[in-house]
Amino acid sequence: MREYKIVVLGSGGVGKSALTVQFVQGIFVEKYDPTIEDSYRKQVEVNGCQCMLEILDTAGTEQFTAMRDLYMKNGQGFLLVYSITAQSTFNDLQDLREQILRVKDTEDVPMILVGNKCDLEDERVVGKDQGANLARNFNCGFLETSAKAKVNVGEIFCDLVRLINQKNPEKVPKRKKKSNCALL
Amino acid sequence: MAELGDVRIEESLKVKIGEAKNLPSHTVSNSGRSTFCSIKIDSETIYKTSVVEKSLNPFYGEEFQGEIPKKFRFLSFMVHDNGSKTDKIIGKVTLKKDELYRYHNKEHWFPLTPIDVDAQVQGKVHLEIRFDEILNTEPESFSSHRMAVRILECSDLTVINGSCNPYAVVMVTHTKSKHKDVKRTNVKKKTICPNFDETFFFDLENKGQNHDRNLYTFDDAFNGELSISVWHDDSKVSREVLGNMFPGAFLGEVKIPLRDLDIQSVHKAWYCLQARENSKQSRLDLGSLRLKISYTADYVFLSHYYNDLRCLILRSCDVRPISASAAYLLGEIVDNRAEAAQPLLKLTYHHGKLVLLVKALASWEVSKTVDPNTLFRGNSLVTKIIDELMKFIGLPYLHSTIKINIDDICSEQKPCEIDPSRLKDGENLSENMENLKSYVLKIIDSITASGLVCPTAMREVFHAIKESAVSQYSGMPTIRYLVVSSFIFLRFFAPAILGPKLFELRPDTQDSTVNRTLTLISKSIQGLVNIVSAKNISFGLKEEYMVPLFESLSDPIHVDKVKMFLDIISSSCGAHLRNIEAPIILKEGTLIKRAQGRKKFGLKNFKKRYFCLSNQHLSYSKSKNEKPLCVIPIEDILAVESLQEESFKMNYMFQVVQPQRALYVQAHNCVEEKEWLDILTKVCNTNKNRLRTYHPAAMVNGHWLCCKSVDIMAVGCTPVSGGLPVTEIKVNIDSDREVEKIHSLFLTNMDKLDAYQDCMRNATDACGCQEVYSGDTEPHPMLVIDDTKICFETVTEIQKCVISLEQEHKRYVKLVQRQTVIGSIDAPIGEDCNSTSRL
Ligand SMILES: Nc1nc2c(ncn2[C@@H]2O[C@H](COP(=O)(O)OP(=O)(O)OP(=O)(O)O)[C@@H](O)[C@H]2O)c(=O)[nH]1
Ligand SMILES: [Mg+2]
Repeated sequence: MREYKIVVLGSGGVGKSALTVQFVQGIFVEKYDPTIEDSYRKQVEVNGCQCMLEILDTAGTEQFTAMRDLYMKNGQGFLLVYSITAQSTFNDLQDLREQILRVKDTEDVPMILVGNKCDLEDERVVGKDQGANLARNFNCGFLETSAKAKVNVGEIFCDLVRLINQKNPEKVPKRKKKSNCALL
Repeated sequence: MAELGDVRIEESLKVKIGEAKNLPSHTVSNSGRSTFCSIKIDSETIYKTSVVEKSLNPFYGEEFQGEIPKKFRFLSFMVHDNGSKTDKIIGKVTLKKDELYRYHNKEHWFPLTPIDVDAQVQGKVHLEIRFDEILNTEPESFSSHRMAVRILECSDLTVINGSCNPYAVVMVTHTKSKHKDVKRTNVKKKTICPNFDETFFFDLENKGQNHDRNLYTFDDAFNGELSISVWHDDSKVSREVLGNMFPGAFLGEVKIPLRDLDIQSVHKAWYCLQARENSKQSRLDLGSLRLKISYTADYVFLSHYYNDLRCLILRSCDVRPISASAAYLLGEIVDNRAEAAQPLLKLTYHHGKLVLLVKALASWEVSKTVDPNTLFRGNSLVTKIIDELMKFIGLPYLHSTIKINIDDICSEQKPCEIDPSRLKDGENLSENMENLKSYVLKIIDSITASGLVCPTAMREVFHAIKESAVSQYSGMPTIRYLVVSSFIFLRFFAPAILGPKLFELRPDTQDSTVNRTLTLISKSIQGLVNIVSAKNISFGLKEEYMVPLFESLSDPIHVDKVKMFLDIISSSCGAHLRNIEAPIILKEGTLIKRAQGRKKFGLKNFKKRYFCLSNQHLSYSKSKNEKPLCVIPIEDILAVESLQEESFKMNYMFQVVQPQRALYVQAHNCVEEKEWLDILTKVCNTNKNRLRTYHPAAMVNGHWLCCKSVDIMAVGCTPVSGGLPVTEIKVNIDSDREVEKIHSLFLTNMDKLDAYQDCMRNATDACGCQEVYSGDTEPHPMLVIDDTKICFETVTEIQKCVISLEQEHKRYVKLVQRQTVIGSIDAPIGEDCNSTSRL
C-alpha cells in the first residue's frame, strides 16, 4: 500500500487539529488544546486505491517554527489552513507557502488551501473570493471547510492525495483521466 | 548637523543554516558523509553547527545571531567533511558584504563552490608609484620612463596555519612580449601588518632597444600590467625557488594596468588585496546550501537626534485607542511583527514603559477577541513583544530551572517511546512509560518550584495580561491559567524542551532518539497545562497512546502545583496592588520567635508561633487558623540571614530584618532553618530596598555582638549573602540604536503609512468611525482604524520624525562621500563596499 506523508500547517487556533481529528476519528474536538506535534495514520480509498495516510498535525504557535523546516522537508503534501474568522491567519499563509517552496526548491508542491470554520458565517472576515484568489495566486486547490459541521473534511485529504499522485504517479504508470479534485 | 565622528555603525548578523542537498558522495565508498557547516567573516570562523552523520542531504536547522564588531568584506559558509582527520571542506558559499542586502531575510539555496585557497583573501597594501623621465641623448627616440614602485606596508593580512610571514612580489607583465619582470621584498616575520618600505624600479623604454630583455617600446610598455602579490613564506625553501613552483601561500594581489596610471603624478594609495583569478574554473556540482541571512547595519547618531521619535514611541502606551499609537502602527506595517517587537520591547523596557504598553495592547486585543479560547494564541504585536521579552531576559531563568533536567535526558538516553507503532525491537512499553513519566515529573517539579525566581519583568507582564483577560472574562475561572500558560509554557518552556539548542540549553543538537524523547516530554507538559486550563478534564480524542500518561498527569497534585506556579508568576510585584489579589501561601509551620520589643533592655521572651509566608506577607499567629498577631509585608523584609549562635546561645536561629527592627526566629532543625531561609530569600530578593549589609549577631546588653557598635541603628557590618538571583539579569540596552531601528522600519514601510493616511484623509467622518483599509495591491494587510482623527495625527507625527531623521542620514552620507579619500586606509581602492553605502 502506498504511503502518503501529509502535513497540516497554519496559525494557532485555526482548526488544524479539529480537522485532522474529525477526519481520522470522526469526532469534533470542541476544546482548544494547542498542539506541539501529533501524528495519525488512517487508511482511505482514493480513486479505487487503498492509501495509508500519515498525517502530521503541527503547532501553529510560532515558537515551534524551527521544526517546520523538518516537517516540510519530509512531507509530500500540505494542507494550508486558515480560519475564515481571523484575517491574520489568512495573511500568515503567504510566508508559509514560500517557505515550503524554498525548502522543496520547486514551484510544484502538492498543497491545498483550506478556509476552516465556515460554519461561523456570522463571524466571517475572510471572503470566499479572497480565498479563491489566493489559491489562484498559489496555483493550488482551495476548499472551505468546517471541522464542526463536517463540511469538506474528507475532501481536502483525498484531493491532496490525488495531487500527490499527479505529481508522483505510482511506479506502474497507469494513465488516469484527469482527477476531479476541486482545483479552481 | 551630525559630524562624521558622531555616527556609529552597528552591524548585526542573523543566519539560519537550513540544510544542504546533493553533496557529492565519497568517490570510493559512495556513501553518505558526516558534515557540519561553519560561518566565516573574512577569514575568521564565528560559528559551527553540530555534525550531521552520514547524509548527502544533511539537515542542520541551526541559527546564529550576533553583533559584528569589525569591518568585513566577505561572509562565507563552509560545508566541512567531518570524516577525514584533517579539515576537509566540501564546498562553500561566499558572499560579498554589499550583496547581502539582496538576500536579506529571504531564504535561498546557494550553490556550493569549490574551496579555493587563492580566494580566501583579506587585507590591503599601501603603494606609491611614480614615473621619472629618463633623459635620452639620442634625438630620434621617444622619451623613456622609469617606474618606481614603493611597497610601503600591508595591513590585516590573512593568517595561515597560525602564522603570517609576509613578503611582496612586484611584477610587470608585458602583454605583447609576455615577458615578466619580477622583484620581491624581504620577508617580515610574524606580522599581519608588515612594514616593508622597499622601492623597485622598472624601466619602460622606447622602441629600438627591445632586444634588451629589460627594455620595451613605449607602447608595449604601457600595455603592460603591474601586479603586486603578497605571500606567506612558509619555509626557507620556498623563498629560494621564488617565482617557480612553490612560492608559499598566496595572501592576495593587486593588478594595475599601466595605462590607468598618469605618468605625471605620484600615485600613493591603499589597495584592497584581491583574490587570484583562477583559470581552472571547475564546473563540478557540489550541491547547494539553504540559508536565510539577515544582515543589518544601523547608522546611529547622537542621542538628541532621536528624542522626537523616541518620545512618540514611548507615548504610545498612553494613546487611546492604542490602535492609533505609533507602536501599534509600527506592528501593523512591518512584514514580520517580530521585527517591530524587538526594538519596541527593548526601548519600552529600558524606559520603564513596557508594562504599560503590554497592558494597553493586551486590553485592546482582549476586547477584539470573540473566542476567549483563542485569546493571545495568534501572532499579534503584544504576543510578539512578550515572546521577545522572554527570549531577551528569560534565558538565565530557563537555564537555572531546567538545564539540569535536559542535560540528564540528553546524556542518559533512556528509551521513552510510548507510541506502540514506533517502538524499537527489544523495548518495553511500560518501561519506556516509566522513564518518560519520571522525566516529565522531574521537569514539572523544577518548573513549578521556580515561580519565585521568575524574572520580575516577566511576572509584571504576566500580571498585566492576566488582569486584562480576567476583567473581560470574569465568568471564566480558568482564563487566568489559559493566558499565562500560553506564554510561559506554550511559548517558552515547551519550545525550549523541544529544541534545547535554540534556547542555548545545549551546545549541540540531539540525535533523533533524544529528539523524540524531548518531543514526548514537551507534549506531556503541554498536555498537563491543557488540563490545568480546562473547565472539565476530557481527553482521549487525539493520539491514543498519550492517554494513559495524561490520565496520570491529571492527578490534582500535579494540577495544583501548576496552578500555584502560574498564580505566583502572574502575581503583581508592586506593593500597592497586592491587597486586591488573594495571597498565595508559600510556606507555613510552627517556629519559635523572640519578642520584637524595641526596648534596649529588659527580658524578651521566646514563644512558639504559627508562621505563614505568602507572596505578600510573612505573618504569625498563636496557632493555625487564628488571626495573625503580626503581619510583615514582603517589601519590609530588607534581609534574611541566619543568626550567630552566641547571640542567644541557641542554634538554628535566623533573622528577618525590617526597617526598624529584626525578628529573630528559631527553627527546629538545620533542614527546616534552611528551607525557611531559602524561601524567604527568594521572596524578598528583588525588593528594591534590600540591604547590602547586616549584623550577623544580635544586639545584646547594649551593643552588637558582632561589631561591638552601641548604636542600635548602626549599619550592618557584614555584606548580606546571595545578592540578586542569577535569573534577574541586568541587560544593556542601546536606546538610540533601537530608535534608529524603528526609524528604518518606518522608512522602509513609508508607502504603507502614506496609503493609510490617504485613506483616512478621504474618510469624511471626523472621528469614532470604523475604517477598514485594504491596500490596493492584494497581499497588503488590512488596518483596522478605530479612531481616524487620532490615528491621522499619529501618522503625521511619525512621518515628520522619520523624514527629519532621514534628512540627517542623507546629509551624513553626503558628508562621508565628500570626506572619503579613495585610496586612503579607510577607503582602499578596490573595496567592494565602503562606509558610504547604506542599506
Ligand atoms: N466553529 C468551529 N470551530 C472550530 C472549527 N474547527 C476548529 N474549531 C475550534 O477552534 C479551536 C481551535 O481548534 P484547533 O483544531 O485546536 O486549532 P489548531 O489549529 O490545531 O491550533 P494549534 O494546535 O495551536 O496550532 C477549538 O476550540 C475548536 O473547537 C470549525 O470548523 N468550526
Ligand atoms: Mg492543533
